[in-house]
Amino acid sequence: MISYFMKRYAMSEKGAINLKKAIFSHIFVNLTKLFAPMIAFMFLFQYIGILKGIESYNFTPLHYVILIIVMMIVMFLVARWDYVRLYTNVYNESANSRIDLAERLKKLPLSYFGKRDLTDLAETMMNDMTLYETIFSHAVPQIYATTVSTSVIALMLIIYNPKLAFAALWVIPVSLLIIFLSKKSQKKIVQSWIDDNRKVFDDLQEKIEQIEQIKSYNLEERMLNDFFTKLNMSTKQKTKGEAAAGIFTGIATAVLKLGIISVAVIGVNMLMAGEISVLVYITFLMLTTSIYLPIEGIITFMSMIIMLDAVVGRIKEIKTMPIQEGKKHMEIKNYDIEFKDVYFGYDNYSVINGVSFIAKQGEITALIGSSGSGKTTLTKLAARFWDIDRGKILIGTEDISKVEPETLLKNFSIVFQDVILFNSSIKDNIKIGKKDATDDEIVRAAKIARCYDFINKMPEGIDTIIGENGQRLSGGERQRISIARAVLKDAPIILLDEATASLDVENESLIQEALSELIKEKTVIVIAHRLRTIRNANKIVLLNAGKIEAIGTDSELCKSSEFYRAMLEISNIR
Amino acid sequence: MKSKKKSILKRLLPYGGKKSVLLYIAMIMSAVSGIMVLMPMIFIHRIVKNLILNEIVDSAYVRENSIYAATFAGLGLFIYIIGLILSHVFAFEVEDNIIKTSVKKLINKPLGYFDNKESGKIRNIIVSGASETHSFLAHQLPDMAMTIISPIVLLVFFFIFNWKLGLASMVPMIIGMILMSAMMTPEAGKMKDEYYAELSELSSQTVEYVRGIPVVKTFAQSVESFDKLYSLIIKIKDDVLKLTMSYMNKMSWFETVSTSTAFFLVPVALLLIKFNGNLSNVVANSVIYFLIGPTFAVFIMRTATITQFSYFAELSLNKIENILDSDDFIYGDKTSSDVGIEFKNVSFSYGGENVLDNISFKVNKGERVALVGMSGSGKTTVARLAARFYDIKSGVIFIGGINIKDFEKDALMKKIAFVFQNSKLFKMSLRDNLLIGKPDATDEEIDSALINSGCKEIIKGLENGLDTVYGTRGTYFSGGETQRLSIARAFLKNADIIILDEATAFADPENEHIIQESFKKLSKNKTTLMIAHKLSTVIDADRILVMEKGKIVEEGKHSDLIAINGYYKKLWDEYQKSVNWKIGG
Repeated sequence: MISYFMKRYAMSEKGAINLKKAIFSHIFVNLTKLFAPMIAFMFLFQYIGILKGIESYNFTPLHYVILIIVMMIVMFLVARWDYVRLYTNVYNESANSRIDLAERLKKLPLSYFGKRDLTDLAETMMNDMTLYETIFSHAVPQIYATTVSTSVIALMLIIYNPKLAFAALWVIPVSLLIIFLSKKSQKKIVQSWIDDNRKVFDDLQEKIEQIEQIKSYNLEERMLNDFFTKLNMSTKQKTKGEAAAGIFTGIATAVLKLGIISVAVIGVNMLMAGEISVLVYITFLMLTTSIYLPIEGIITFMSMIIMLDAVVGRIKEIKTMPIQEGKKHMEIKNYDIEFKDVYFGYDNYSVINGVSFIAKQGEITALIGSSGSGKTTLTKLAARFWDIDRGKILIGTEDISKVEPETLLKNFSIVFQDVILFNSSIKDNIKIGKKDATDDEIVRAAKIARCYDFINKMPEGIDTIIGENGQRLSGGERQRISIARAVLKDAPIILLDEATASLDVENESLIQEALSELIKEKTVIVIAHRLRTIRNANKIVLLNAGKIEAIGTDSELCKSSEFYRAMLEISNIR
Repeated sequence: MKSKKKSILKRLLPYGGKKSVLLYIAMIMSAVSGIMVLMPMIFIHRIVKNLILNEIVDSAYVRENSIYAATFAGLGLFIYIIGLILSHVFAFEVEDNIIKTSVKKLINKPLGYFDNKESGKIRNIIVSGASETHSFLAHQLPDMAMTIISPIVLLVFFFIFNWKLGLASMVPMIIGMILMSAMMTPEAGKMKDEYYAELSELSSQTVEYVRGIPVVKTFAQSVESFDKLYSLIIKIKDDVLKLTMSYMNKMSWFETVSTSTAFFLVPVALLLIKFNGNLSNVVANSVIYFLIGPTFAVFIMRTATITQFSYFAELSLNKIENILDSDDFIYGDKTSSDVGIEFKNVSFSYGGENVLDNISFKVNKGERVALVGMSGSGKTTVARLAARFYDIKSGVIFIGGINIKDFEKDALMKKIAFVFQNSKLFKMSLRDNLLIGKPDATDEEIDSALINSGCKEIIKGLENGLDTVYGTRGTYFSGGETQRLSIARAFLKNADIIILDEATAFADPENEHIIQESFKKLSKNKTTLMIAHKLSTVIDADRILVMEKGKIVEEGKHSDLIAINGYYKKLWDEYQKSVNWKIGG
């Protein structure tokens, strides 16, 4: 049962055990709910017995009052017991799931983080947990507990009087069957509803991101119409889903009400035939008004369960994403990076097709090639942003696919164009490079990275808060902070996007100076855009369509590669 | 905001339009179904009463009443569901219209509005926010109608059946209500507000966390940023548990009492029997209250959540209104066939210090003018103001001799082609993307645009050529390729005024060369304003405006400016130095 819960609701083992406990205590709550009807029936039996001259029991009013008080206290205690258990477990489980999610996100390959969807997914899932809480406090335990307690009541009725019990109970399986049969089509509707919703979301996002183009080409009307069409379609789908769910629930609940007739009619015949006493008959008649209520409850909870499936689906989606783990310790002989016949592709689209070369420690290895040739991808593979499809990448003698990314990345400084900054002070943003850096070290790194001229202009100097994702800084300033981080980190391997050096005209030479200091005596792989910049490199790897076209120093390539000469020629025009 | 004083329902109703009537119908239907649901109890009671009071069993009477009971139950249900479907239709309409009006407002915001906002955030506030109103309108309001009707129904019961027993049967309901209102203390309200605030904090912190993971990974700092999120999650758990546990006793009493009519009814019935005597009457009348009592408790329970959901709805609506609360532009109705740009004493700030400080310049027909300067000097702002991203507070901008504020909206945009540093393409076929520039372009025109922008080889490499849909699986375009395609689109547009904001920043050398040549060709008889980052591209501009700290400090041709040996010369030397920089050299 526990392993079923774990699988069905994507729960932890502890969560599943707690769910089982919650169901157990809720069964008791359901059973204590029978106390009040019991008192009612005792009273009716006693006094209708007197009226009809049927032998019954004889309690005094005092007995009743004492019994009622005892029952209320028991009910209260059971309800409180259940309440505390239920909510403690639900909120703990939800907190655990959130933490688990956060942990898991951390282990995803770095490549996943470029995508907008991941942030969205994570945010949605954090919010999902609120829904999860509601469903697990209000629906799931109730469904299981009600099933059990209703079965207990049904069993009691069957023992008491099988014929009348069947007259009352036959509608329950019929009604549940209807729900069961409709569940598949309901699920389909809900799924297409979720998909359509997603489309509306994505479409709006795209439109906002494209707002500059929309405006400059006067596409407002067209884009609005386009969006409204998608929205209308989604709403139509939702309305359809809501109506279908309503109708199925309606039919299923209406069927339950037929039980009233069958009990009344069969019962009156039995009464006249003398098979049952009038007391039994009245009991069953009155029961028909309340016995179906829990089943109706289950039926309405069903829609919540379908929602839950979507939540569970998302949890499973995250759980199926590849996580990267590995050794927490690296045996490092040297910092040479070796690519051995590496193949890699995204979504069946191959990007790297059999690349082999070595980037030596203390040397600069430049990757060149037209856009789309795979230079950036190759660099990112070295830092295990993705895991490769075939081949091997070694650092020293270690296969990087066997090393935990965090351990691996301790050896890397990555200076790319997309700099991620946090909403804290400049100092804290630089300090990320080395957690235990002293203020002096930070200032030194900031100076090496030529950050000091702009830091001095800030109202609070190095303690100035820079806004969400560093909004208040210019592109060049951001680059220099990322270089300062790298300087502070002082890692043996540097991955560098040369465009970083040329993002901002006025800062360009400053950044270049900083870079020159950064890369001294390291293993450097640089993605080159301007050939002139990297002609001094120890090794130039010329890529074309994911393959190595030529490899060598500048003078070697000038001799051997026509491709290289052509590229050189074009870039020398300027 | 004025609207905040209005009740949330009053604010939502206008979005329902004509369909608002559906809400009223749904509420009435819900109330009616509330009565219908009680009817079976009356018929069952009639049978029971008949059995108690009469010696002879009348089977026809039993059958008749039981059929009525089931029919009314079914009918009540039917009405309830129809009502619910109607209220859903209404709620969806409201949701849709909130989204539609918001998106319409949004898309007509000046471009400057989007500068400091995240697309995902705007999207979530609007779309998810609109859906927050759904439950309140579709479920809580109709259910409330059902609850409101119940005291009236009870009153009727009091007249028909013994009122003393009726009062006793109401005790659980009254206790239930007292417990409910006891739970809504100001402290609990405050705790709730705090909890909701923490939940939205969780959202933004998750975003920050996920965004930071790459940094955290590359700098091996897992503990700290994770700790922040971790402690928030734990705090949320602790707070919600504290809140929930403060309800522990009250909720448990509510569970105990609310549906236990018999606990209160039986003692009263016993008293009545003792002092009043009419045994058969008391017993028969108590049956009806045994039956209906628990139903009312169910009604109350349903309404308990209404304050919570109306709060959510209000919160979301406020957020939507807040994010859209900014000044919109007023457009004129003028157009112009002239193509000059003129800035006259223009000053501008984004709120703080002046970014542009009393700038005046003119770009004439056929001229290619470049803006050069450090970042923060205001050159991008000039370009953006020329396309009316923002309105200026002091000075005038003329486009084609007409004040930019008097321009008809579409006409201004038709006049200007703006090529951005990060131009993007739409998720449609490449052909359709290009046709946006000129809907009736011929194949030859498209072809020459592709050649001029260095796109020919991109298209050649694609299996489906121009019919490749951008952004679908398996298609992969690098930043430089996307940029070239969007330049091709701008070429097709063939506007009078071209504004280039570092348009070739990501292009490869060979393509940059092609594109720059094409821009030169294109600029005949047009006006070009270019923000240049690679100074080599501005050498042959007709005029270079050199900006520093929001002012134009030098102006002239490249050779003249070099000759002056001023600020531009300094920039140029710096640029030369950077161009000649060699890595590891």
